[in-house]
Amino acid sequence: MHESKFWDRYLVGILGSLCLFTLALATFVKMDHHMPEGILRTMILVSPLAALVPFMWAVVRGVRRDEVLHTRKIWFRYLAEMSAAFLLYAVVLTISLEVGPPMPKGILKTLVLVSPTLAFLLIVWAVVRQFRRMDEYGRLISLESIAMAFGVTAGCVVTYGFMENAGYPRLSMFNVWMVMMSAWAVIAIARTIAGR
Amino acid sequence: MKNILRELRAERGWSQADLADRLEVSRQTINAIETSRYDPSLPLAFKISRQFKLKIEDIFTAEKD
Repeated sequence: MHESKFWDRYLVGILGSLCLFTLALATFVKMDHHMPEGILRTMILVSPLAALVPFMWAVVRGVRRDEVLHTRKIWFRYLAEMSAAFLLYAVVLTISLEVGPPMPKGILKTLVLVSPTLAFLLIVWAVVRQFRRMDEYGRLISLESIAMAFGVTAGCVVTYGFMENAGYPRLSMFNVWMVMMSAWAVIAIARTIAGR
Repeated sequence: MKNILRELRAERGWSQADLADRLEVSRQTINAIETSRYDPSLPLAFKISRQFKLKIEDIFTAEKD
């Protein structure tokens, strides 16, 4: 694999994903107050998931270029499992958001609203399976990067907690996830470049 | 740990990718071992020694304390 292809492999995909995610999110926020409940509104709500498409595309291109057959095999298996799990997640999430909110309060409503978590567990399972397929060095580097991202996230969350005490607006817990994933991406890219 | 992986590989005319495929690891792993940034586990060290038909201690040597 040519080292200069690195940016081509990942950065384009990550930037494309971020742009699409921001666009989808902005569209949703803009339409949130005006749009009536319905399938269209629900589709817009889950549309940020489409940001995964350019990212997957970049990863597939990168994997196809890898000279090592073994590496190509394990990454394609992971991509297949991950894509299937994500597709199922998107479908279950759409159904849950469409069917759940109008239901009367009760255990059934709660079950419908949390049902995407079951599909999400399949995504976690795909990640765990990939960690087990990776070789020891890849696993070490990936887990170290996740540990660093965990530390960065903890720092950010605690710091913002202090700021909230001083009157800054309360943010959704979902932001923690965004910070962690961004930190992981930045750390993984920085370490890959430094490693070369 | 120091090692002579790069020399052994060169003698056989194998690229890092060739060796990675034979050992079922990534090219990055071979690169990290060759540049002494990573010491392989015992099972991987045995796999390497079998691949080159040499003893582990002929390939890997401990650096002086």
